[in-house]
Amino acid sequence: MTRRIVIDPVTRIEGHAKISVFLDDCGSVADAWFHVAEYRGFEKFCEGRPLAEMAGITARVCGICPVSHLLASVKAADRILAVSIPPAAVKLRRLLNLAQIVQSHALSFFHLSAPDLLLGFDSDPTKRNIFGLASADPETARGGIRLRQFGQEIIEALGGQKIHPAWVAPGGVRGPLSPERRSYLQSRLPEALDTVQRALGLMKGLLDRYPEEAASFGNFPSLFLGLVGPDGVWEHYDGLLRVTDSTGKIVADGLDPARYQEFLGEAVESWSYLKSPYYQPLGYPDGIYRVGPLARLNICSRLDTPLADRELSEYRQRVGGVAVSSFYYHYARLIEILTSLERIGRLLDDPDVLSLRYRARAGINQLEGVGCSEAPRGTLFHHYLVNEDGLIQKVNLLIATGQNNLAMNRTVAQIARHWIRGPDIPEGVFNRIEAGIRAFDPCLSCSTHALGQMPLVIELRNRHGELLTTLRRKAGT
Amino acid sequence: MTWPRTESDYGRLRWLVIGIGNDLGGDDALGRRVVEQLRIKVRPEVRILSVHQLTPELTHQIWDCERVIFVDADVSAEHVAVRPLKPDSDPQPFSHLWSPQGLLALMQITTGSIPQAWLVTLPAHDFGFGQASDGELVDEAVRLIESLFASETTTSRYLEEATRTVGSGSSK
Repeated sequence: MTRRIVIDPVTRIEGHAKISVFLDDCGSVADAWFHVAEYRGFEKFCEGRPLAEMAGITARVCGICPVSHLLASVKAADRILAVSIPPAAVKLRRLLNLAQIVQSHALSFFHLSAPDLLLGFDSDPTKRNIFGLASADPETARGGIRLRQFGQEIIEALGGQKIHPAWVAPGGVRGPLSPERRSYLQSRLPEALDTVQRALGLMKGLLDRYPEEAASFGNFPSLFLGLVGPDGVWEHYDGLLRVTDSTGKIVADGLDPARYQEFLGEAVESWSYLKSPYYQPLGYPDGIYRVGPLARLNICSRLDTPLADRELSEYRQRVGGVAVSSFYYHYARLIEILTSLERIGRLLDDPDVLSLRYRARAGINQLEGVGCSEAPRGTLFHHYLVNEDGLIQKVNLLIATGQNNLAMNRTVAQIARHWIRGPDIPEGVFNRIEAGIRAFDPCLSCSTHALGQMPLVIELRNRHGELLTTLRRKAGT
Repeated sequence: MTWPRTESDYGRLRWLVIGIGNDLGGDDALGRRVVEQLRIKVRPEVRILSVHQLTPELTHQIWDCERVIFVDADVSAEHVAVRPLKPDSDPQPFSHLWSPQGLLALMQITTGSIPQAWLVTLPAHDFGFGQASDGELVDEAVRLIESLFASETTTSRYLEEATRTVGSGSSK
């Protein structure tokens, strides 16, 4: 008798989702699905809008990573305008994106995942949250809150507001950083560096505490994809795409993001609004790949900042060279915060960020453009087609969380198979299944724009389709 | 946010007033309209914040003040009203929806202290797409908050009441 167990909603992620686990006649896990149960529709309702509005509209895809969408959108628009933007604008956009990575990663680690890691996956679920974390380790909780605040302050200093800053524009940005704001941000940097280095120390100590989780949370071979700069250096704003495998071998390199449709396919499953992108040369679903912090650290040659490169070296020793377990997303995320802060320091010291030459202006010079950058959760593509008047004819958004969809499904199945023993599932095992998803820091608001069949009922069914029972978990626990 | 600033610029402010709401959500924006009016009559001892929603990062700005007033629309309110706040004794974390009491609780845990706090509520009826329209309610709330600022007698009375209400919650 096949039985289906559902966890709904999956908590401490951005958006709404549920997980179905299918049990076979013996009570063993036969399969598991990660359903995303929300639909946005941005690709459709953007049609007909002027190109100049796209950054402002698509930033509303998400309140956590609007900056990522702003940047990918204006980069697509830069292509359509056929402009080369001023060096100062590139540096200011980079500064903005690094701040976005800091604030988003801080949210993911300190607010959403640290309660599991520091308090334990089997700890009291009513305390396994930021309040419980703050009670157990006030310094970490306080530092995490201030670290995220620092990232948000940079975004606000540049764009005028923390969320949806209307400051990035096709051709550049709308203004430089002021000397006063730069001084303030420089004064905040040492504390932020201290916080993430302390968190890295905590994280390394926790690795020995969770060997079983590291072995079962998405620990499988896959491809890894992301942008790299010259010599394979870690990149977040520009560069070319690299694909590596689980041995570290480079499968493809120097791929132009604008030609993504030549090597990335987009499959749709009937049980989720989330697309299932795959690497086309290997087909679907064998072309499974991961993006985001884990992938970026796997594909890069180095981070090119001294503190973070030391951490990267130790990280690679600890994870065995190439990190294939999704459990290490957390660790990778902290190293990315560190390199982002070091890079922020460099950029704040650069006089170009105060330059008044920050924007190139042009009209419609091409009818198609692809913008690509690294969002906190992974590689992000905005692809626009416009008419001669600059009105949007077609939009395709390829979002980081979607690109991790196949890996998230496989992660859920692996955790379920490892931890579930029959129909009685302890809360700690439920939490581990959720935590496997949380490791990817999925942003479902961003990634749900593929039309599918949304299952609304939470069910436990036998193989004949008869409903056996329904399981729910209260939101917020 | 006021620029330029440094950490030391914060100092210890006497008052922080936080208006909460969605500018496009009809009456939900009433709290923000109140603080925008207060901002026009800016006083050096008062910091004004207008926010879409409360977030944990606000705890650090709240920590820098002696007294905090949250201003929000409330569908259950019949009149413009003010009441002292204490930290939530059983806070329910949800990253997108923080209550003033939840923020105070987080602050108490992470810093060991909280400022004296009040919640000013305005009656709300329509949260549909659009702008808040009731100027009289906003004016009334502004007058109420200004009376808190201006009247030492009134302030003292509220402070005493707040202290009684906060009870075991520590305060600065």
